[in-house]
Amino acid sequence: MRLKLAFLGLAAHLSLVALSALHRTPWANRALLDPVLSRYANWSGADNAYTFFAPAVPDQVVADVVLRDGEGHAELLHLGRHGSELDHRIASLLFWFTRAAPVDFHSRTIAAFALNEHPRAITARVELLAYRVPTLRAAADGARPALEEFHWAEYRRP
Amino acid sequence: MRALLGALWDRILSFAVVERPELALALLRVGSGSVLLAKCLIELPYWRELYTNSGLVPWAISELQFAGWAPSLSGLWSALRGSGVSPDQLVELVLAGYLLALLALVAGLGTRLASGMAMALHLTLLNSAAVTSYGVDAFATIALFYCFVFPVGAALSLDQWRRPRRYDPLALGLCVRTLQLHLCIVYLTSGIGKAQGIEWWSGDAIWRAVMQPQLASFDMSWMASLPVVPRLLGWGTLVIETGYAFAVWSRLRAGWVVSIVLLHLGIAVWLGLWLFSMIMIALTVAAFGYQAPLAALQWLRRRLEAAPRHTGVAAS
Repeated sequence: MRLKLAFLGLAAHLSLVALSALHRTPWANRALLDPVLSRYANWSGADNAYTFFAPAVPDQVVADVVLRDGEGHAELLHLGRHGSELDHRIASLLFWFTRAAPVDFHSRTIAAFALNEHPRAITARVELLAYRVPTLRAAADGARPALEEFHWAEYRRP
Repeated sequence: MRALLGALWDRILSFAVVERPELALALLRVGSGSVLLAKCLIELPYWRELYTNSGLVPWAISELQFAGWAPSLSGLWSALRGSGVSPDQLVELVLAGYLLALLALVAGLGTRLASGMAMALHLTLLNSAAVTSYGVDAFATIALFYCFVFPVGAALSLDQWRRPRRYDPLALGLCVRTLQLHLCIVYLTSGIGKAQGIEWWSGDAIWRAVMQPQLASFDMSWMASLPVVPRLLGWGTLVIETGYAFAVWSRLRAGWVVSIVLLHLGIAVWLGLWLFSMIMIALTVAAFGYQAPLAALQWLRRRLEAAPRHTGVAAS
């Protein structure tokens, strides 16, 4: 009996896994099912979809922050440009914000972080740039990857 | 109807028969636990940026997605507000607890408690830094959940050494089959998702991935002059990922496991995604590749048994 219950539980779990992988959540917005299944899916990882870099590889977003202190000295902070574990996470963060949140909110968050890290700075100018990679064909014709600024804003420490 | 259900249950039981399932579960525990330990140590220098409320993203932003019912640092902080612990100290305590839980998990000491703690603390950190998470975090959640639910301390563990227990091999087998089927779902949906994009057929997906500054480990601009290389790599990725769900149930299993390991090693070397690659390798080896070390041990034992014995008596 215990084995049968275990089998039923695992089968239900795999069903959730398969549905989520297919971006299907029939339990969403249903009064009783949604809170229970959403919570379970969060704890178990069953709510994941596995379409990383699918169907395409998106342009990476990086952030450059120019910090100035009261004497006019400037310091440049690059976020997300390198290959450390921190950069992987910054890249995830920057990509999440370009999809999910207003760009201004995005740059405000970066400015708040940068000013917190550099207490002597009074202003922070945040530039958001997308790393545009040309297609293979264009690259064969001489086109080169380039950073393209799509938003900038300047903030002052309150 | 009863006969039909009986026959179905017999088929399920025969599917649950797996050779040495306790070894597969032990590899799941040790492999994924070791990768997560490495992840913890690699992230330690950046813990302030990643997890504190004054880091890259305030807790409130990351936790917006979870409507307040998921474990989180701000939830824990609210519960401990009167205790005198500062938010940064709370993060340090959670990280220390997570590290200890992972050490105990890898050693197989108090396995169920260790895996439960590791899972809870991992989710607490993840939910408060969700917007900086990527693939390794998703599979960490999956691996820790399975380590909690499955009897992963059934072999190669301090628990089993101190107090040996017998486990129902069919129950262990069902656990292994669940992990195997989960990985099949992962790779099949990943492969089909990629195949729906023209970039994976044209080679542009590989080209774009290796040219991103955050991912690029080497100068791969030469690929523009040899587009057949990224194109073949793209096709190879589609074949290996989509074919995984079918090949691992056939005679091609060993070769496909090697292929997926090589694919992930390639991702590690060329894209710098070492943690993600290592956890994927750990999961595949636990699910489908654990028999290789078993076969190697059996081969070694046969060689040792077949080796000529010296009786210690000198010839006169």
